[in-house]
Parts: sequence; structure tokens; C-alpha cells
Amino acid sequence: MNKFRVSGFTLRVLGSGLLLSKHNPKRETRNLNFASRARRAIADERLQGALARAMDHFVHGREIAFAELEDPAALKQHGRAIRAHTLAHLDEYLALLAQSVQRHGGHVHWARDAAEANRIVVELARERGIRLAVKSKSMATEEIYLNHALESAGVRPVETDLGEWIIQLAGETPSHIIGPALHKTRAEVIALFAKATGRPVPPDAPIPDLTRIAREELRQHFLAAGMGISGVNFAVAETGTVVIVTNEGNGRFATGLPPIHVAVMGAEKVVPTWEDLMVLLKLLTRSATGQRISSYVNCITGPRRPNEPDGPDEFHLVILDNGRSDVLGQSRFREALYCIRCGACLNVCPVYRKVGGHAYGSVYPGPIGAVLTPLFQGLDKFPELPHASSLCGACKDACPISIDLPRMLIDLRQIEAEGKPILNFRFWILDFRLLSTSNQRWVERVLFRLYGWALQYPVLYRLGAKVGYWVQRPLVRDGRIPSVPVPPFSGWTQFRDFPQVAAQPFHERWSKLEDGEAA
Amino acid sequence: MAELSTGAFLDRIRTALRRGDRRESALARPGEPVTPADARVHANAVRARAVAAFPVSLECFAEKLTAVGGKVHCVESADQARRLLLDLAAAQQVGHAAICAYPDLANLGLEDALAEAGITVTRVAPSDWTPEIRQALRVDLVQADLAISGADYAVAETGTLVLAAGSFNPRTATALPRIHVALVRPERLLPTYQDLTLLLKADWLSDDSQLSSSCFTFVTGPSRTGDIEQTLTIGAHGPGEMHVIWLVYESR
Repeated sequence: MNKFRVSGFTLRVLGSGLLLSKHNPKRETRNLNFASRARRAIADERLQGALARAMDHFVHGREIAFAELEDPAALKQHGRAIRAHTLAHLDEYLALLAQSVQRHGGHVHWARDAAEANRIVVELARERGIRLAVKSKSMATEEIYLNHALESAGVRPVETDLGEWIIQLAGETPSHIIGPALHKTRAEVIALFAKATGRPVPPDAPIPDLTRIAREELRQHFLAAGMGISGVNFAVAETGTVVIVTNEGNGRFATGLPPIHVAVMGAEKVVPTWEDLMVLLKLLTRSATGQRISSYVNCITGPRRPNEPDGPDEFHLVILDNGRSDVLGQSRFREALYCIRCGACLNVCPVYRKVGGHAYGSVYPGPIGAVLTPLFQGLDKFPELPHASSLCGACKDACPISIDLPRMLIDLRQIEAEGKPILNFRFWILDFRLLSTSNQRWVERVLFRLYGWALQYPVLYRLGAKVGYWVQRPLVRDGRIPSVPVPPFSGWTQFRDFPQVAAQPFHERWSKLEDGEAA
Repeated sequence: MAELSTGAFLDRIRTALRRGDRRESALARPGEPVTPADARVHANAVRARAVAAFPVSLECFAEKLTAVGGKVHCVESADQARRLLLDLAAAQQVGHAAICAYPDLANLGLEDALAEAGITVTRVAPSDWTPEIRQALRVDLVQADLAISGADYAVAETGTLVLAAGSFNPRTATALPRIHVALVRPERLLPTYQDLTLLLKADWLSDDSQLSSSCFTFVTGPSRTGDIEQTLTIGAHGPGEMHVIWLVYESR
């Protein structure tokens, strides 16, 4: 970090020396990117319609799927226990996984970061002269921008999950973990397919016809591809089995037709045994799409056996760190790695439901994204994401692993506000952070300290209530305060009215009631 | 820069774990893993229980599979099985069928029946799978309209079939054609996934933890997608139609 706040000024440390400039909040990235993207999303009527349709559909499905279970709470607890135990012994289970994969003739590659993972996959393709790769849906490959790396190396990646293919054709990133193209309308899809296939598609083509077009077009690629790339929903350590969950069947083709299968997984996706796998599979499909189980679950262990008529001759598993070991080492954030990527938290989040995935500016959106993105990529690059939440707690309730996302969002906000003190001076309510990496404005800091100090003394609190009542008088209209013209308080009244301080505060009414009773 | 070695990668993890809360590292295992040897000890009991529970399991299986668009039939003789298959093939204008030579399908006379009806039949049976033979098989599977298979297991809990890749069952055989029909004997139907896991380990996992099939596919109904405007479409990349025919009669 080479940019510091110095009481109202910004001090930049440059190669050529120090630059002191007047602090300009508008130049700060805080709130600028997310807020402006969010505003754009809220104004986008097509997106709002798509979100309204999709969110309730997912939530309803999940609720029904869990309601029919005998003991959903017990299942969730069991799932959490498996994740907690696995992450606490992650090194052992990864070692076992690697041994098991190798025992069955597969290869294991360890990638410390995105660049390395991309290098590994590109090298595998280059060594074999591969020009075309088919991909089944993988958030891990989105995280590392694998498609971009492949294209730069002259390998054409074709997404085969219908939603992923649609956004690939549109040149966009996914807007939801489970339904990447939920923001696209049928009309937009028709235009994309017409361009991709080079054939006209009638503007009133029904959705089954569009699905058939995708099937025909992508089948050619499945049969011609030199490499199949997949993600990994879970990897079973005891046998080295990677598990891939799909509804469309594209997973079966991407992993079964090309001569080499490359599976990319985040290191935290390992699962100790098949018994554990069954528990987590049950939680995953019900939480993600409200299904008891998806149409297809592929459990793949190494390359084809000699007596098998088809299947790849080579199997490669790429295990990705990319910031995960850092998160593992922070006790209060470790449970963010328990995530099984079901997307349930997105569907209930009042923020996500309104702004969609692209507003978050990174591959993982919603509550889990607001926690993982700053942890993986740096809080300084995404300081506004932990604030993209009302802390309502719906995400924690919806999560099949009961990950405490609200607590982690608060912890991230605390880290962001405190920053790292380098040179500071504290006396009473005065807190001069002469040099720190905090993003918090000094006005905010002083006011919070004042508030915290005054609340310790009932006399001051009551005096404050009385003074507040009189000071607010000019601003009150009809019992509410519609606008406070003074920044930073003006932000509070931009979209809603503030309730007024009562003429008779509660503590006065309570005393009167008590006196009345005693009398 | 050379690729990270196993040791280096795991060291990063170990260092991180040491930094974290020590109490978390002592987390107990939720449930004991079942070894292949344990599994084999209990396998017969699991099978016997499954056979006894067949009527109840079948009802559950049919309910769950039908709910997701699969079709369930019961036949009481090999003759009925043949006639049902021919009816399905005729209704869907099948010109080419691929049969995976599962043991359950032996003695059903399916190939002859289909051939007599004028349908081209590709029989997938254990063979020397040379690259040329494999390529020829792929061409056949791509052209086939109908895939006929058995199943290694079925799970009543979700209406699911479990197919293991093997010498007569290519991974993609039941995925490429637009219709999949599975003929299954009742003793393969298991009530729960717990039963399935135990039998998978008993039947396919050796004592030195070697799995003898590279791919187990759990198939539940036809392929589907909801990716366009959240509208459900049955039939995506995999088959658009899926049938399970239960052979509920004594085998000869």
C-alpha cells in the first residue's frame, strides 16, 4: 500500500519521492465502482425483470426440496462438520487425493495462483498440438480467466453449458453462480445464436428450438475437440474421484469424448470419503436448483481403463491455491472456504436480488462474493464490497453449511476501517491517524468516538437527546427529516427519510410510566 | 518458473493451518469411513434387505423418476419386454439402436427383435478396444437414435440409475442418442445412497483401494436445462427421453 491518508490529505509514495495532495473523495475508488454499477443495474429494466423471475424461482425450489427432508437441520450440521473437519486437515486430504489420483493413472498439478494454473493447462494443450477445447461449467476456470489464457495461446475454448455458452458468445462474465445467463432475454439469445451458427433464427423461436440449436452446434465441437476441461464439484480423497454435476449432459461429453480430460479445482473442494460425498451432494443439488439430484452426476477416477471402449486416455487434475491458503490461515475467515458454490445466498440477498452479479465486479457475486473477493484479491482493491450488505442475515439462514457471512462482512469492515496504523496520536476522542492505511474518514472516526464516549454517561445521553430535538427542528417536515444538507450525513437521506428525534424520548416516557405505577 | 511440487504446495497449507486456531485442527471426524473389507462383510445383508424392500422401493423410485420426466414400466416376461421396446422404438421413429451388452439383457432376444423390425443394431460387447474399433464405435453411437442398457444399481431415494463404465458400457453410449432405455432386474434397486455407497465399495473397490471403473454415472431422467429465461426445457445435450423397464419376473 503506497497511498496514505494524512489528516485530510493524501500522501502518495512514488518512485520519485512523496506527493502530498488535498484529499479528494471523488478520486477514491471506495463506493465509486460498486455504487455506479449498482445504480446502472437498478435502472436496467430488462435485468430487473430477469432477476424478479429467477430469484423467487430458485428460492422456492430450495425451500420445497429441503421441506421434504426428514431432518434438514441435522443434514446441514453434518455437512458443516464435514467441511470443518476437511479444512482443518486440508493438507492431509489433499495429499491423499493426489496419491489416489496417481494410483489410478491420473496426473496431479499444483498451482499456486491463477497464472500458474493457466500456464499448466496451456502447456498441456500446446504439447499435444490442441487447437480446440470444450469446457463444462467451472467457476474455478472463470476465477483464473482460463479462456483468455487459452485464446492468447491459440487454443479455442468453447463453453458447452448452455448459460456459459450464451455469455461466452456475448463476451460477458457470469452473473450468477448457477445460472450464468439469467440476465439474458430470449431475444438476446436468438441474436447471439444466429450470429454464432451463421444461420437465421426466427425471432419468435421458442426456447426448446433454441436448445436444439445449441445441441446441434455444440455436438460438433464435442466430437472435434482435442481437450475437455471441467471444474470439480467435489473431489473424493479416498479414491481420487472427481465429481461433476450437470443437468444438460454436457459434462458427460466434455469429460468423455476428447482424448484428454483436464479438471480444475479449488483446493478446498476436497471431500474425505464417498459417504461424505453423498451428504454434500444432497445439500448441493437441493440448495442450488431445488433438485433432489441433478440429471447427471459423473464420478470420474483417472483415465479410461484398458478394457473400456471410450473415455480419455489422459486425466489431469489441476489443484488451485490462488489465495485459499491465506484465507485458511485466518481463523475468523476460514469458514468462507466451506462454501460448496450452491448460490443459495445470492438468491435471498436483498442487494444481489436488486443489482445482479455484474455490479460486484468480480467472478463471485452476492454475499459469498462480498467475502471471498476481498479475501482472495485484496481488500484494498474491493473496499466497497463488504458494505454491499444490509446485514439482514438471510444468507446465513439460506446457506446449507450455515456459513456466518454477516459476521465475516463485519470483520472485513472492521479491518478496512482500522487499516494498519503507522503513525498516530490518540487522546480522548481525538484520534489523529497521521499515517495509516485506513479508508475511514477522520470525521467519521471522531464522531463515532464521541458517540461511544457519550453513551457511557446517561446524563450526556439525555442531554444529547434534548439538544438533538432542538437542533433538528428546522429540518423536520411532517414528523420526518427528508433531507440533511450537510455531508456526510446527506448520504443517509438521499434515498429515505430519517425519523425525527422525539420530543419526549423513550426514557422519559418510561420514567413517567414507572412513576404512574408507583403512585 | 517450474511447477510447484507437491511438498511446496502442501507446505503453504500446513503453514496456514498452524497460523490458524489450534482448536479447529482437533475437529473430530463426522462418521467413520467404510473400508472395502468392511463393505464386503455387510454387502449380502444390504442386498437381502433391498430385495425384501423391493415393492416399497419401486413405488418410491417410480414416483421420483416420473416427477423429473422419466418413464417407468414393469414387464412380467421377456416377451413383454421385447414388445414394449419395439413399441417405444416405433413411436419415436428409431432407425438405429445401440445395445450395451449388460448381463441383465442377456437372453432377452432384444437384438433379433429390433433387427426384425428393420432397425440397425450396434451391439457393444467386450472387445479388443483398439483405436480403430473405438473410432468405429463412436461413429455408430453418434448415429444411433436409441441407447439400450442395463444398470449396475438403482436408487429409490431419487429415482436414479447408476451406470459404471466398463467393457460393454462406454461412458457416452447412453448419452449420445436422443432416447435411453434401461432394462433392470429388481435386485439392483437399493433404497438409499448409504446402501449404494456400501455396495460400490464392496463391488468395485479392491483391498488396495483400486477402483476398477473409471467412471460412474448417476442418471436421473432425461437431460434438461433452465438457462434461458428460467424456462425448463427437457432434452439438452443428453437424451430427451429416458425409460426404465423393470424385469419383474424370475430369470431362467
